[in-house]
Amino acid sequence: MIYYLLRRLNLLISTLFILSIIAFSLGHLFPGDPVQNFSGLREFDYNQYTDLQEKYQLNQGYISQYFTYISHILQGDLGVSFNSKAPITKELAQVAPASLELSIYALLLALLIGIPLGFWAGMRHQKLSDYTLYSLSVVGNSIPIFWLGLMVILFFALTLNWLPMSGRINLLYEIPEVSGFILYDILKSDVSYKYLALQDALRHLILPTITLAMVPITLLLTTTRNTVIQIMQTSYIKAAQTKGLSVWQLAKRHVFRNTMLSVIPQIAMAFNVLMTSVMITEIIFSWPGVGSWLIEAIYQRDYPVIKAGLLVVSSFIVVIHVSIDVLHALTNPLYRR
Amino acid sequence: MKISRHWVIFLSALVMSACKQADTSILDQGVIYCSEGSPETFNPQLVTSATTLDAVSRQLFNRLLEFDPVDNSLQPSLAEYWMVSQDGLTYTFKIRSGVQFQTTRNFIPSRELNADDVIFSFNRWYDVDHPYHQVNGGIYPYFDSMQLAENIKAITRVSSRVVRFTLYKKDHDFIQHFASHYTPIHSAEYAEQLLTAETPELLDSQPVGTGPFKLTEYHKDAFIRFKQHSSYWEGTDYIQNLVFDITSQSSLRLAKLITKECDLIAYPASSEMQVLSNAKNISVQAKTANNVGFWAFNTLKAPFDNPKVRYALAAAIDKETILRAVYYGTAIKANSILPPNSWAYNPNAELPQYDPALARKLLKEAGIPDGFKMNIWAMPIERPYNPNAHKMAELISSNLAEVGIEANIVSYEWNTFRRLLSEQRHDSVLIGWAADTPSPDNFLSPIFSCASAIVGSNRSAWCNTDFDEILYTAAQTEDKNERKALYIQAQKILQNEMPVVPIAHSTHYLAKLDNVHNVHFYPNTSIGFSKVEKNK
Repeated sequence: MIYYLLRRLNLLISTLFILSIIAFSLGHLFPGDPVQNFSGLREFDYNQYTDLQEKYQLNQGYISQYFTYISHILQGDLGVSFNSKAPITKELAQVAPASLELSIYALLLALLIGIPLGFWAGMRHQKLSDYTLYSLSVVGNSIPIFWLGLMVILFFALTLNWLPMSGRINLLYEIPEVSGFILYDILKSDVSYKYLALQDALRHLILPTITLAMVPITLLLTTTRNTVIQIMQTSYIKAAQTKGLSVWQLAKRHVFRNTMLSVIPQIAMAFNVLMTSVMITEIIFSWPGVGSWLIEAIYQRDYPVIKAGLLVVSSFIVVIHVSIDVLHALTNPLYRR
Repeated sequence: MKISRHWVIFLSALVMSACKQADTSILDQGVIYCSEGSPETFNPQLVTSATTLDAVSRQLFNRLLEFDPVDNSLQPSLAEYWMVSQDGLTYTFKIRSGVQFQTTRNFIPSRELNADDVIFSFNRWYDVDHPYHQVNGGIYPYFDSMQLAENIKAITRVSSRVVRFTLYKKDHDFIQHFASHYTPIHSAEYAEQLLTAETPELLDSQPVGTGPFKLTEYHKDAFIRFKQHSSYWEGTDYIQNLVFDITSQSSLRLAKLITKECDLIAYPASSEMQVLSNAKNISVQAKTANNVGFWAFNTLKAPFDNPKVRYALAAAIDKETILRAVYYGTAIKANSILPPNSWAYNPNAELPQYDPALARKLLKEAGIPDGFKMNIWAMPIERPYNPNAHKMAELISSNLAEVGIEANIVSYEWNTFRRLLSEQRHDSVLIGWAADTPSPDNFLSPIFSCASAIVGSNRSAWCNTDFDEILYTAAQTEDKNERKALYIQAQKILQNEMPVVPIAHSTHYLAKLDNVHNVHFYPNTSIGFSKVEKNK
């Protein structure tokens, strides 16, 4: 087990190292002066320029520049944005909770819908409900997310006028930002329209959450179904069936735990899919998260933000991936080899 | 027990969320305006961009005078009345009493508006030694391009309620500036306080004015939040909250209007007019063209420094197609930089007709080789004078391909775009101008004067001393016919030199839900919400 953990740790560190090298080189590869790209400041006099050069060690060799860069990152200094002139760490702290909130709800929805439906389909293998669910999930998996997003907007927002299509909340509701998680902030606020604001925020959540959850739902549904079918064909299940166990008992005692062993790594996969599709979803629904922030930065040629955003988002995905891997290894001894 | 109560609220909200909105008083007291871009600053003195002016000038500030919405005559605002001396050199303003400044998070006014505030607001750009002159850049594009400071001899405080402006030379348009966006009245007391705290730069980002709304929150590229100024001098019979929801995509603004996430939207695209006129509960307001969309050549770069090349390029483009494909019939073809409703418009003005053969011949004569490459910068946002610069650039580039020129289309985000333009990086740019006062000088000076080539909106960087001389003489002349003759002469120079190709004068639209009333939407001023009411 120790050996396994070390291997994972090694993977984690080397990936992060490569990512940081890429982000660091972007500071030099992007157009403009590296001093501007690293600090995010664009107008300075000679003294400020030399100070910044000193701060980022840009007059030294690349290796010492790299280590200075890393030490700044570890201190939480990602420079400032060209565009808003605010520290990037602060901007990130504003947008990250919005993305995270959306991803968490979508993942919860995917777990709550995908796994039970997959389980049911697998148990009823080669029956009508199995065929229906399976074909639906194939269709759902093959719909591009931006198309799905636009379709739900067209139908539920523009045609039926049931639900709003953009943002997290009607902007007339003024919710002080505490954690950045909108539902939590509304509950913590002491505004007179708390209940209405909460209702409004939930209405805003429905369409993006469904859009974002679509691919993870199909992913989990298919995996769960296939695993259940496999397990149902093993000899120990057949033995249990001949012993006269009811379907419910069978599912509870033998199938569920064994299924979850292969589904848990899929949750990690689902989360990776989520992290990339959340950016697309944010843009479609004007959700003020990391995706919208990065796209805006690309459009505005805000190099410090692009550089920092790339590093933070990819590191986050790597860390999550490795942690779920480790979690999986803890639950499944066979996987540790 | 707290948590369980939260859960009850949460769950019941979940249940309710499927239903339609219940009675919502907060929503009835506020208006959401979906605007097209982020303001660069919150001080109109520092900019000429309409996006910033729309967000700032009529919400946060008042001016000494106002334009009458109907006939453009001057009306009192913060000045109760004013007098101009016989020789036209002295302007005296009596300041209104009982006008309160906004109370914001970091400022509580201790006195009402008086002459000091007026003097501070003008001295900031007029007096180069003023402690605030260099704050946030020290560039005042409107005043600099009009060279207003050069003509002002003195600004004097006669009493606590009277301010006097003395000029060196007569200028018949001078009084108009007091009603333009660019002369808001700031609080001198607030400026003093910031100076003591050594944070004078906050004056432009956390402003204090006398206007109907105060700024409470701003997130770049997301939203601007305003709250009613509770002791506004014109009365407080209007909405409590105003939010600018910054939505740069025009189709998204339209969609948000249809789903009622916006109460009003800025600049509906000409191509969307059909959808809007068919939609229920939505009405469209229009204001007449006092603008021009044009194609400017960077006359600092060869071969665009050659008038013959510019003329050839003007003859190479097919404006009729542009009017149909870009403006959808909401604009008229421009024959001059001045729109036909201007009193100095030259009815005999003529621009080269679409004639690719002629263009090809002229280009050959000017020594432009076949396959010559140039770039066209297309502004990234919609303006009435150019609702879709990118599409226009594509049409022009196909026109240019016919005469053997390869055009490359360039675009950036709006603030970046403007910054790079002022560094003169472009070969040519599709942009335009909307006038701020009814005076013809308001078109000619900012777009073409030498001063404006350095600091202002002269995107062709064209500088012609004869032309500047004519504008200068015209401002001195009293007789309107003589002035008109001079302006026509100026337009003739432009016709021969062709630093820009005027393309169209268009109508400016605003689309809103039917239950929102009394939006201030008139020529020469930006949008205002000081009388807006919202019915259920």
